[in-house]
Amino acid sequence: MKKFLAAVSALLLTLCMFTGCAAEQSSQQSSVTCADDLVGKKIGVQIGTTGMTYAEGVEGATVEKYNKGADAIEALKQGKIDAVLIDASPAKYFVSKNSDIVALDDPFAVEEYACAVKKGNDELTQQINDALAKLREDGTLTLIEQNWLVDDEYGKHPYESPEGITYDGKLVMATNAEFAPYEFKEEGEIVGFDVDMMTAVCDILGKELVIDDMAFDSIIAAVDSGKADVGVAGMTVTEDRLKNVNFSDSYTEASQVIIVKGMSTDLTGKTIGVQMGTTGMTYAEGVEGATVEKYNKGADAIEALKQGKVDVVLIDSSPAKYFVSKNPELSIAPKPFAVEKYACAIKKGNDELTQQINDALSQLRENGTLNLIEQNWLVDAEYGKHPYESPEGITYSGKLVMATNAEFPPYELKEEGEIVGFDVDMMRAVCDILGKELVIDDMAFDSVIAAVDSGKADVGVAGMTVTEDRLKNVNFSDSYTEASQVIIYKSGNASSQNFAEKLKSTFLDKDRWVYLVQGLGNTLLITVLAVVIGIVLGFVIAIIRSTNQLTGRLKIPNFICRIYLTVVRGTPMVVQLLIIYFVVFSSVNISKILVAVIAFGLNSAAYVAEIVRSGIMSVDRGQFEAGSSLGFGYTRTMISIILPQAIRNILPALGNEAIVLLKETSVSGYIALNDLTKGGDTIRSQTYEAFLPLIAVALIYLLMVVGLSALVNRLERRLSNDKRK
Amino acid sequence: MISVSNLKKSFGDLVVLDGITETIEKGEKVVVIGPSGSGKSTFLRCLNLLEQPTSGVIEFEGRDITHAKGRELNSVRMKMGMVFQHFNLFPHLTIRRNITIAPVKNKIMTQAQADKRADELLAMVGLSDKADAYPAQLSGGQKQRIAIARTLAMNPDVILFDEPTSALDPEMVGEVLELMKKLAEGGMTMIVVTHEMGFAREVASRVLFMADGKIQEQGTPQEIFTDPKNPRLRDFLARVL
Repeated sequence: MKKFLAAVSALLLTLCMFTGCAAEQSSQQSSVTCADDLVGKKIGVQIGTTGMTYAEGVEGATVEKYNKGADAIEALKQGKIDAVLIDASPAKYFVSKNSDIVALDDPFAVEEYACAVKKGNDELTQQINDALAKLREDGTLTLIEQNWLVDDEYGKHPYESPEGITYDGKLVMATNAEFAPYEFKEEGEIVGFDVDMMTAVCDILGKELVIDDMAFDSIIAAVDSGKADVGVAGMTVTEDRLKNVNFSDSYTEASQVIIVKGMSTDLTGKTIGVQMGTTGMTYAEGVEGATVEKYNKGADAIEALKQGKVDVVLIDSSPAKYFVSKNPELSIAPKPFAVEKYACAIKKGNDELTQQINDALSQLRENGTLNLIEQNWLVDAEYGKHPYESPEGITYSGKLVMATNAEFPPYELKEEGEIVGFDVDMMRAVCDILGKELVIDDMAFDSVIAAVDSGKADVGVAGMTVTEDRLKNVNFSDSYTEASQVIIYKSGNASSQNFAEKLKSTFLDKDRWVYLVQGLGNTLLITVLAVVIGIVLGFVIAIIRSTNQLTGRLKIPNFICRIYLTVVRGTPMVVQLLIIYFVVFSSVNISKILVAVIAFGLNSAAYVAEIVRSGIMSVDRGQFEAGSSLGFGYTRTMISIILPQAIRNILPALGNEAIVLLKETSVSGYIALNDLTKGGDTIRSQTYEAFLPLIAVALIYLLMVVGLSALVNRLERRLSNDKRK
Repeated sequence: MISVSNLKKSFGDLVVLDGITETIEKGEKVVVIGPSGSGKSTFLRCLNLLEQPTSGVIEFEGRDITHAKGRELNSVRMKMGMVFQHFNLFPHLTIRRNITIAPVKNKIMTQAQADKRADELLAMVGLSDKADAYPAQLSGGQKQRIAIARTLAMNPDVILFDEPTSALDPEMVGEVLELMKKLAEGGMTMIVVTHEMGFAREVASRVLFMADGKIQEQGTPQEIFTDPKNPRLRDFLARVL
C-alpha cells in the first residue's frame, strides 16, 4: 500500500510540473463590436484623415496617430490599440491581407471624397467637375470604381488613356500614396483609384498628369501654396479643409469603418467545436470544408479550444461572453456569425400551454420583468443585482416541469448546487403568472426536445432557437430573448495559476469539493443498490438457467432468461440507461437515481447470472447425488450444498463485477445525474481546468476499487478456509 | 426388503441393464461383482433412483417406488443410504456438519441430537478428532469413513456401496473394509459393488455376478469362488484372483 501511494504521488508531481509550464502570459482581448464600444478605447488612425477627426470626437478615447494606414493596422495587430478607424476601401484591402483582423459591418460614418483645388481657382474646379460629370455619364468612373473598389483583384477593368492622345501642359496632383486602394505604390509606381480617376480627368482636360507624393497632412498646404494644382488623396470635404481650399464635386462615396483585431466569420476549412444539438452545430455543419467536433457541453468545447483541439467554437453569444470572461486567453470574434431568437419548446398539440406561456411572456415584457431579468443575467457585469423574486405569499396549484441543460451559462448554469440563470428566472416568472410551481429537470441538451415530446417535461427551456427540425417535434412559444451565435477563438495564452491556486480554485472556492462529495454519495448509492438488484436477480436467473440445464425443467422461464441475457449483454450500458430513462420511464417523473439503480441493476444481473450459472455448473455432479442420496430434494440440495460452493468459487468474479459496476456508473452523467464523474465535470465546467478535477475523480475511483478488491480478497480467504491445510 | 423385477435401463441405444429380477432380504450382505461395463453401478444407482429405470419395477419395503417423486422419493432415499466411489463429502462444511446436515435439514433430529449422534458415529469410525476439520484436510480413507458415518446418521435400512474403495490408495483400503465389516457384523443390510474379492468372500451372504447387463450367476461366496459354473464367471475370476 505504501509503495502504491508513493507511486501515485510521484505521478501526480510529474503531471503537475507539466501543467505548470503550460500557461504563459495573457493578452488583453479586444472588446469592440460596434461604434459605441469605442468609448474610452485606444483608436488608431492615419494622421490628417477624417478618421482622425472622428476619433478625436469619441468620448474618452485615446487617439494614436500613424503616418500610414498600414502602421495603424500593424499597431492593432500587436495589441497596442483596440481599433482602427479608417476608410472602408483601404479597410477592405487590409482585412483581405490580414486574417487576424476584421472590419465591423456597420460603418462609423459615410462620407464623400472630392478633389482639393486652390482657393479662388474656380476655373479648374469647374473643369474638373465637368470632366467628372462626363466620366460618370460615359461609365468610365464606374469602371474605375469596379476595378479598385469592387473587384476582389484589381486589374480586370484597368483605365487606359485614349490612343494617340497628346497633352498640352501638365497638371500636378498632390497625393499620399499610402492609402490603398485609392493611392498606393506598386512596383515603384503610384497606382490606385484616385490615380486612374485623375488620369481620366486629365485626358479630358488634355493635360499630362504629374503625381507628387507627400505626407497626407501636407497636401492641403501644397495645393494652397500652388505647389500642386490639385490634391487628390481620398479626401473628404470638411469645414476645416474648406477654409484653405476649394473642393470639386464628390467623385466617390466612402465610409469610415472600424477595424478590430479578431477572427473573421469565414470558417471555411476550420475545425469548429460546438455543443451537441445546438443551432451552432447546425450552422457549423453548413460551413464548407469545416470539420465539426461535437461536445456534450459548451464548456467541453471551450476546453478543447484552449487545448488547441479545435480552431474555433461556435456558440451562443451570452455563454460565449461568460466563457471568455473566465478565460483571458479566449476572445469572441467581433462579428456575430448569426442572429437568432430563443423560445420555449412545448409538446406538439398543447396549444393551450403555448398560449398561456405566450400571454405570460407578453405580460412580463409589458410590466418590465423580462427587462429586469435580462438586465440581471445578460447585461450586468455581475449578475445578482436585479434578481427575480416570486411575489410574496404566492400559492401554486400543480407543477410545471421544465427540461433544461444546466451547462449553458448565463441562461442556465449550476451555482453552488442549484440551477440558476436567465431561463430559470424567466420561467419562474412565467410560472408565477400561471400559478404553477416550477420544477427543473436537468438533462443533456439533445434530450430536451425528446423529454418535451414524450411528456416527461411540460416545457423545454434551454436557450433554444426555433429551427425547422425542432418544429417537427415540438411547438415553440414566442421568442423571449434574442441572441447571436458567435465565434470564440484563442487569442492568447492562459495566465498561469500556480498549483496551490489551482487546488484552491478547483476544490475550495465556492465549496466546489461538495460536488465531488455529493457525486461520490450518489455513485456509491447507485452502485450498492444496483449490486443488490444485480445479485438477487442474477441468482434467480442463474438458478432458472442451471435448473433447466441440469434437469430439463423450467423451459419457458429459461427461454425468457436467455432473451434477457442476450439483449442486456448485447447492447451498450449507456444505451440501456438512455432507453430506461427516455423510453421506459419517458412519461413518469421518476428520480434519476432510481432510474440509474434499475438500469445498472438490470445490466449487472445479466453478468451476475452467467457468473453464478458457471459457478453452479462447476460444482461436481457428485455433490448433487450425495445430496439426493441423503434425501434432499433439488431445491434443498441447491441451497444447502451447491450454492455455498458455487458462491465460494465465483466470489472473485462477483467482486470484479461489482468493481466493474462501480466504474460503469460513471456514465450516469448521460441522464444528467450528478454522480462522481459528473461532479468532476461540473467543477471542470466552472474552473476550465481539467487536470485536477479529473485526476481527483480518477483517484477516488481508484481508492474505492482498491478498497473493494481488498474486501473481496478477505472475504474470499474467509470462505475458502475449508481448503486450508 | 428390495425387490426388482425385469429392470431395464438404456442410455440411448446402449443397453446397460437387460432385465434384472432380484430380491434382497433384510440383513443380507449382497456383493455385486463383474467386469467393467457390466452394469453393476447402474444397477445400484437404479435402486435409489439416481438413475431412472427405462422399464421394470422396483419395490422397497413393499412399496412400488419406480416412479416416486418429490417427498416420497426423498423419504425412500433417507432409508436407503449410499456411499460413493468419490466420497462426495461436502467440502464447504466441517466433518461434523457433513454428518449432521442430513438429519437436521430433513427434520429427523435437532441440531443437538444430531451433534450427539455425530460424536458417536465419529467415535465408531475412529475419527473423533476430525469433527471440526474440513474434508480437504482428510486422507481418502478417512473421507470414505466419514461418508459412511454421514450415511449412518440417517439410520438407513439399507446402505448401497458403489465401489467404495476403488478411488483409494492401497494402504487405505483396509481401514474402509474394516469399517464395512463392522457394519455387516452389526446386522446392516448392505449391497456392495466392489472389486475386493477378499471382502466378498469374507463378508457376503450372497454374491451376484453381472455381465452384459444381466445377473449371470449367483450364490454363496463358497459356490461362486470355489465352484463357478458360468464360463464368463470363471474367466472373470481367473483374471481378478
